[in-house]
Amino acid sequence: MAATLRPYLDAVRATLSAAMCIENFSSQNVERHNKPEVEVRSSKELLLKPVIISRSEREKVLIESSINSIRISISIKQVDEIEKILCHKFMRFMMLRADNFFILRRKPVEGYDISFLVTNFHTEQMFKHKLVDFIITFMEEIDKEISEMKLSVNSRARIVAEEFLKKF
Amino acid sequence: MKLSFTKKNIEALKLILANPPASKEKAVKVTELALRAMSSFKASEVEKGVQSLSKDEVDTLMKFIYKGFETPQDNTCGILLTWHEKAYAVGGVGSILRVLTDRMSI
Repeated sequence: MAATLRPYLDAVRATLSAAMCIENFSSQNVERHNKPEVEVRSSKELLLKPVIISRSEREKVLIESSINSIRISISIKQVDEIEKILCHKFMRFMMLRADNFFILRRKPVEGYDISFLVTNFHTEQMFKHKLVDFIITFMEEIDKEISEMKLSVNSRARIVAEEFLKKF
Repeated sequence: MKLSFTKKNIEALKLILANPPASKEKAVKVTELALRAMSSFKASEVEKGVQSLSKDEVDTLMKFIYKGFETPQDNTCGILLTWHEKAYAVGGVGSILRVLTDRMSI
């Protein structure tokens, strides 16, 4: 399984670089408004085909692009209950602070664990290739962090249980 | 279909890629066939397979790869990722963009 990590991240990086072709585009329905078309989904001609890249049944990335915005949703591998809880809490922690992240979406898309929304304003202020780098690094680090947290939870539980049972 | 059972994987793949499916009912069958053809390649043969395709065929191949990603099964994902890597090396960012923008999706 570890052998598929590199090709998976390379495929995501290639697709992201291709899909991040966004420019400023004001709303066609309401004058003087500028909305991310991938969220509004008002006209078909402004949306690109959504594309999924999957490493396995549980791990996949959904990339939806449009003329002025791109939405990236990540589904993280969670094999057991404790990883599910850790992942859920971790993602919730980050999404509550989405304002500081700029590109994070407050709610994940249905069926995924976390979503990013990159608009043309973000690409005007930040480098596109750096944004792609960030997302790839994010995907790599999340798995490491969750397994680290799982290890520390398990070792803490073991110590606590030992101490408690010493009394008996 | 018979070609898949002999060792002529490359010819089978070329046949499927030469005629992208026109109607929706046929599309499901053809995608299945294409995925079977792609899974029958060994990891080392994938590169040779991609080299033998024309530009348009590489684009259609990319479409099938992304279609395959939508229904992930344990054994297909690994080989699909290898196919994606090699097809990207030949087709470049353009082939991916053509998948995203093409109105005629499979």
